[in-house]
Amino acid sequence: MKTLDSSKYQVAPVRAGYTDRILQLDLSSLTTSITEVAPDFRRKYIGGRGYAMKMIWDGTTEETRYDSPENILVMASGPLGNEPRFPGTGKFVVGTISPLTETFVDSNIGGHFAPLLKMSGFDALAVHGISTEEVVVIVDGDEGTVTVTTAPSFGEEIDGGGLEYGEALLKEFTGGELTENVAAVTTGNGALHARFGIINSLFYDRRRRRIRSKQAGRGGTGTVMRVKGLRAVIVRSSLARVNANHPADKKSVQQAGAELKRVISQQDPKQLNLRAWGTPVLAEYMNKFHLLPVNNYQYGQHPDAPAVFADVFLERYFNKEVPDGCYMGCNLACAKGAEDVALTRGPQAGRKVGIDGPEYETLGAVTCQGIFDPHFIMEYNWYCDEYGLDTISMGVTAAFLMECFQRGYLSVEETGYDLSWGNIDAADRLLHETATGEGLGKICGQGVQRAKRWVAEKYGAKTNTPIDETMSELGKFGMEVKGLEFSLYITKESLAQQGGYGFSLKGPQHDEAWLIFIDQVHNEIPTFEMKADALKWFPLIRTWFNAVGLCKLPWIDVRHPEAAQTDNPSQNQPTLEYYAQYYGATIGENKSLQDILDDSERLHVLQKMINVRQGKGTRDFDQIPLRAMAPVYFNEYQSRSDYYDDWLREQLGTDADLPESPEERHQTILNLRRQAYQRLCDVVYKAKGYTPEGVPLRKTLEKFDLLEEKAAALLQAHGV
Amino acid sequence: MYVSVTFLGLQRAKAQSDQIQIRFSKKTRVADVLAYIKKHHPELPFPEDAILVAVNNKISSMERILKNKDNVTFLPFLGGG
Repeated sequence: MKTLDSSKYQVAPVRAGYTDRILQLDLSSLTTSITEVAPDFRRKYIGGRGYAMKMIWDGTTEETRYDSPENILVMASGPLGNEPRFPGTGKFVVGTISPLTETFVDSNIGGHFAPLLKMSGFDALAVHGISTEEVVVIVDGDEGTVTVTTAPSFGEEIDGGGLEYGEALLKEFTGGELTENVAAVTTGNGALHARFGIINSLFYDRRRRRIRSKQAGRGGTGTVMRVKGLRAVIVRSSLARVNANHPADKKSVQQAGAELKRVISQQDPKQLNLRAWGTPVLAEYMNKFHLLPVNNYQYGQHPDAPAVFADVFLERYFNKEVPDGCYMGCNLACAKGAEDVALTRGPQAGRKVGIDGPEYETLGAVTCQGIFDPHFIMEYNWYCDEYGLDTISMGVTAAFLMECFQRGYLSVEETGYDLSWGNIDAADRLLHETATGEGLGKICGQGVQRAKRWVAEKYGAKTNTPIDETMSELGKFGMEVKGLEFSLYITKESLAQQGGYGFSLKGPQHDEAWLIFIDQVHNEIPTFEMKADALKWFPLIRTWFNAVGLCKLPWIDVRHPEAAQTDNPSQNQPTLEYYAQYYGATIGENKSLQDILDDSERLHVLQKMINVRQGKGTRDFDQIPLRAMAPVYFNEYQSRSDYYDDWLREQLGTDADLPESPEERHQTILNLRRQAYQRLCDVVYKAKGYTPEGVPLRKTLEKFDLLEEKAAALLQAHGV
Repeated sequence: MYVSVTFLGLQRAKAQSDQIQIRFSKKTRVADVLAYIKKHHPELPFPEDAILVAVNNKISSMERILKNKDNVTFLPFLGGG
C-alpha cells in the first residue's frame, strides 16, 4: 500500500458518550482534518442519523447528486453506541444522497466499526470529494494516526468482493493476527454496477474465528462509497470497551442494561426466540397472516413456505455451538451465522464459506421471486454481501422484472432467458449479471423506478403502445416509492403500514414504522386518527435509535411482561424506560420519553426539509403503488375472494350494496382503497404539522429551531 | 365438540406438530384451551403477559366461548424488525 497522506492526531477521549470530534476526509485532495462539534450542534442533532443529515443539509444543494463531489458519505454512531453492559450498542448509520432516491438516505448497520471509531476519537467520519484512484483509509486510535493509502490488490479473485477483499485487507493490516480491536467497512464490485450497493461492516468474531459482516443495506450507500473511490476504511483501537463511553452515571447505566438483559433472557425464549432462530422466525408468522411477499407481493402465502421457516435454517445451517450477535454484550444476539456452507452456483461454486444471515428481509426477497429453497437463500445472501448488493432491492427489482415477464411486457427476446416465477437458475443468473452490469443485470441494477422506463420503451417498440400508458400500468406493481424498493412485507390489508411505507422519508423501508400487526392483526388502531397518531409516534421513536447508536430489536421484538398493563401495550413503554434511563445516565441529563420524541422530531422535520429541497418532499412522492394497497389484478382478488368480499361488506354496510359480479367487486375494492390512502395522507399531514401538500408548516420548523434563512426560502418557494 | 390448536414457531418445533385436535365440552373458553395445553404440554413456551390469541385467524380474547371446529392459535406479539 502506497501512503498518499498521513497525519498524527490527539485521540479525543470519550466523555458522556461523545468525543465531539468528526474526522473529515477529502478524497479530492486526499487530506484529512478534524472538526470539533459545538455543544449546540450536539444538543440539536444528537448523533448518528442526525449528524449525517445536518452535514448533508449544510454541505449540499438541490443540485447535488449521489455522484457529485460535494455529496458527503457520513458514518456516525451516537452517544449510546459502544456499551457492552447494554444490549444492541454496536449500531451506526451511513447517511448520504442516495443513487436510488436522489435525496438523503440513512441506512443502519451493526458490528464493531463505529465503537472502534469512537474509541479512536471520532463520533463520525465524513467523506467528501472523489478520489481519482481507489484508496483505503486507516484510522489507528492506538497510534493516533490517520493514513490514506492506495487500495492494494490481492488478485482478481479477491479484489472484486467486499467480504474477501475486506478480510484480506484486515489480515494484511494486522499481519495475520486478527482481533476484535480492528474492524473495517468495505464493499464489492457489484456496488459499482448497481444503484443499490451496500457497505459491509466487517469484524472479527473470536469464537467463530472468522471475519463476520453486517450491512448498511438500503439506499445505495455502497455505490456512493465506490463512486468516491473509497475502497475501505480500517479502524483500530485497543482500549477497553466497558465504560468506554465514560457515562455520567456508571451505576445507572449498568442497572438499566441489567434490567433490559433480564427481560430479554426471560421473555425472548417464550416469544419469538430470536436468540435461537434470528429474524427468519418472522417468515412463519408473515405466511400465516398473508404478509409474506410472494411473486412480487401478489400473494401473501404459499404452500411451500414451510421450507424456509426458521427451524429449517437452524437445523441445516446455523451454528448452534457459539452465541451470535453483532456486538458485545447483546444477549438478544440475533445475528445468526453458518459455517462451511457449500456454494453450488455462481462463479464461486465449489467453495465452502461462512455466511452471516439470512435476515428475514433476505429470505423475503427470495420468496418475492417465487423461490422457496433455503440453500438458494443462503447462497443469494452470501453473493449479495460479497458483491455489495442490497438483498432487498435486488430481490424486489428481480421480482418486478419477473412480473413484467409474466404479464407479457418482456419476453425472452428482451431478457435473454426464461424469467418465470420460481426459476432459481434465472434468479441466480440475474443476480450475477447485476453484479457485473451485464445483460438484463444492467437494467436490474438501476432499480425498479428506472427499470420501469426501460420496460415501457421495449414494450412500446414491439407493440406501439405509448410509453406513458405502459408506465402507468407498470407503476401499479413496480414496488418502489421515491425510487427505493419496498422492504418485504405485504401491506395491502394494513392502511397504517401503507402509510408507514409511503410517508417514510428515505423511501419504503420499515425502519420508521412497522404497524402491520397492531393494525391488520390486532386491530388496535381502527380509526384514521389512531393510525395517524401511530404514524407520528412510531417513526419518531424508531428513528431515535438511529441517532443514538442503538439497535431497536431488544425494544420492539421482546415484549415486556408489564406492557399489557399500559395504555398502549404496542409501544412497550416499560422497556422504553430502560432506554431513557440509559440515555440520561450516559449523557448526564434527565431525559423523559417526551424529550426523546421531541429531539427525534427535530431530526424528522430536518430530513423532510432535505426531501423538499431535493424535490422528493411533497404529497406526490408519498404515493404508493396500487399493489401496496390493493389486489391489483383479478388473480390477486380471486386468490382471497371470500376475504375481500367480507371486507367489502364491512365497508359498504349492507348486502344490497355489494356489486353483483366479482369483477365489479374487485374494482370497487380498488377505488375504496385509493380513497382511503388519500384520506390517510390528509389526516397524517395534519398530525405532523404539514400542509395538505405534505410540506412542513413554518410553525413546525419554528418549534424545533429549524427556520433559518435557507429553510424559510424553501418554504416560501412552496407557498408556505 | 372439537377444537384445533395450531402451533407456530417454537411451539411447533417443540410439539413436533403443526396442529392438534382436542375434545372439549361446550362452553369452553380460549383460556380453558390454554390451561389444557399447558397441563398436557408443559414443554411448550407461552409468554405469560405477552400472548395474543387468534380464533379462526382473527384476533380474539381469552374469554371467548368456542364453537365446534374452531381453530385457536397462541401468538407472541410482533413489533417488527
